[in-house]
Amino acid sequence: MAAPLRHALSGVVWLTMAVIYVPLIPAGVMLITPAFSAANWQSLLNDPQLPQAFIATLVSTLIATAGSLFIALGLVAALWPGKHWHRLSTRLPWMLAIPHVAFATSALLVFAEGGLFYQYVTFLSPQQDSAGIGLGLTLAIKESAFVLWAIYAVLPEKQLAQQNVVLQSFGYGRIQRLCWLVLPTIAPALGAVILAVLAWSLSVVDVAIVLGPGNPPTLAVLAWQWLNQGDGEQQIKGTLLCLLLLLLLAILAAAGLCIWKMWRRTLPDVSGVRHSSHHAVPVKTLGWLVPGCGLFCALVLILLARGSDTAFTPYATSFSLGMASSLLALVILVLWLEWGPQRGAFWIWLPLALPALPLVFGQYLVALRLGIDGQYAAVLWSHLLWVIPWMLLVLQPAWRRIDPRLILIARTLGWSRARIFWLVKCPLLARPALLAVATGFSVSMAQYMPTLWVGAGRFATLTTEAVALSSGGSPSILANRALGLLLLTGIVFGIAARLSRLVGHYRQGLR
Amino acid sequence: MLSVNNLTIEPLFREVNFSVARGNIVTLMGPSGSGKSTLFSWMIGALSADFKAQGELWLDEKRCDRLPVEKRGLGILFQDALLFDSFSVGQNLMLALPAHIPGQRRKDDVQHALHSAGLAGHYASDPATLSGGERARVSLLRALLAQPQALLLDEPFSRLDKTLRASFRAWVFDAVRARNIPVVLVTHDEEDIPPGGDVIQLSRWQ
Repeated sequence: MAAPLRHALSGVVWLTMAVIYVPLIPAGVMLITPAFSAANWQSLLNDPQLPQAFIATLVSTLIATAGSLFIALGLVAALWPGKHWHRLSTRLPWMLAIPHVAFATSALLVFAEGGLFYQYVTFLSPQQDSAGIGLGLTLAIKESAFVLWAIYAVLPEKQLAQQNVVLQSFGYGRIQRLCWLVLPTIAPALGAVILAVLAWSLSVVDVAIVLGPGNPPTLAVLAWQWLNQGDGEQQIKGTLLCLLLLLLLAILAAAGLCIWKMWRRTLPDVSGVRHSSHHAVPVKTLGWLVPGCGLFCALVLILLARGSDTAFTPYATSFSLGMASSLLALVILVLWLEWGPQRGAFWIWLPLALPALPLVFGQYLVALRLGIDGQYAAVLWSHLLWVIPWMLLVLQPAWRRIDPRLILIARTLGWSRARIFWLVKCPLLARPALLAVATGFSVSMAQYMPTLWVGAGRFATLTTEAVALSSGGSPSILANRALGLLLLTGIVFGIAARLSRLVGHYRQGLR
Repeated sequence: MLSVNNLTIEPLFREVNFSVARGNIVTLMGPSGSGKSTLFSWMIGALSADFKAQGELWLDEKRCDRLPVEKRGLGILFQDALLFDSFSVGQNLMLALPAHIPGQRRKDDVQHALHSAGLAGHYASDPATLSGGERARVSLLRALLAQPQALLLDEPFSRLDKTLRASFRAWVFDAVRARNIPVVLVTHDEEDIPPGGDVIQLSRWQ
């Protein structure tokens, strides 16, 4: 390809990325500006809701993060390596494909006052949960599927399995093998995943509105409420709270890193004591644990949903936003991978590691300034900030796996870069691209704050409806919306899997 | 004495019967893809569920085929050294020592073993910095320090280059004979057969 065109493409893809990521800058400025006034902090700290909200946030976040890690590692210890581990990987989509809000809604419909559970188990009555324990537990189960999925991606099979046999032949048990062999191997990737889970549970708003404590709510919901109010003082308190969330994230992440480093220093225990695992582990049951929760969630929603009013608009809006953003992101990302920078660009991952709230507020500020809030294109643009990194997470490993010798051979055939891109790289990316589109679709479906804020409340999606209905709407309509959310995501994942299998059927080399 | 009685692994082997006395090395010969590693997976207790196996494994008076890997008392050496990369060379060896050997003696035993293998001074080394031959030697030391009742060698020489192979092979055979335990070696290379050892062609069970 001619150099000018290459530069043009590179320029276009850089510009596109810049447009999507530009809200990071006003978000940063907006966060910093009010922080220099002691009076502002005073008014935040004097707020009577703060202590309880802080406790609820801390408890729910810690339960969610530690719980998801515990569940995932427990399953690795019990099932890896073996056929049950592989079976779990094929069943994991049952949980992964369920949108957070749908999962939270079904938990609400079962365990809230007057929910299914208390209708049948009448001798128990619902407990007051002002510390956000229920929220934490629900998130732990939901996020464990994500952690497991990440572990699948990084656990090297063959070599590690053989090392595992060696350690096992010395007489060491499951837990020792997990701690000494598996954990050090997956630690770098696992750390990043846990950071994402931590950031997400710390700042989650939609699920916390559905399931979390009401008055006071968690810090993120509190900040969301304050930022939503027109009052200047409340807005300042909201931005400071965002900053507090960031600070909390940094402290918790540092604490986690310290615990890991200290624990790492005690490894291995060279005294040679073998803690062999005598107990037979119920592998079948364990293999169903996480996928089973997903199925249970679907079942609850199917049981409770009544299709009396089937408003079509939320479905159409959700679907069109999801499809448009994921397909657009696919094009941008493929161009980015080919013509963007080869290394670096860590800022691309920031939306996964930072609390969403300040970023959405940054988007809102930009949209207000440009006067585009309330437009469809603006909502699409706001979704891309999360759709892009999530899809890159799926696409980048596949892109890196492309054998460079293949490209070299194509070049010896005299092919141009564009031709190699079209005829060699893109086909090799077919299956990961399908998975990425499904992932991007579900990420867009799940967006609550950007839809509401940048859309100026004009776009009702299944997620915004479900969250709105969760506080005192009719359970059957709520279940209906959550079921719609689940079905739409599930269908897109199903079609992607089906197409992907079709590709694999005709060309078995495309894995 | 290590014995395999009436072992059938569908669809690879039928009626496998052989035994190895203490201090002997029996070589199982077969081309690549003949199921050598599958046979060893069954013996060590890590056979993949894709295979259906039936038969008995005896180690002296103990029936082993129903025991989990960690209770069998068998050691295994693979093609790759498979050192635990997150630990030092010394820690790798320490892990193998049985628990009943107390504190300071553990370290002495490991130092002694390293010395005997010409690796003195490598106690604190990172396994990744060792050469291929050194890694292979550490790997055998590790297997032997665990004091296994029998040892399985799964083509342990195939990844080494020619000059290293002969000396490493001789060293391995001396070391395992000194332990007076039954040893089974699988290989596709006739040069690997130890002098004076029994050889069984895998094809006779297929």
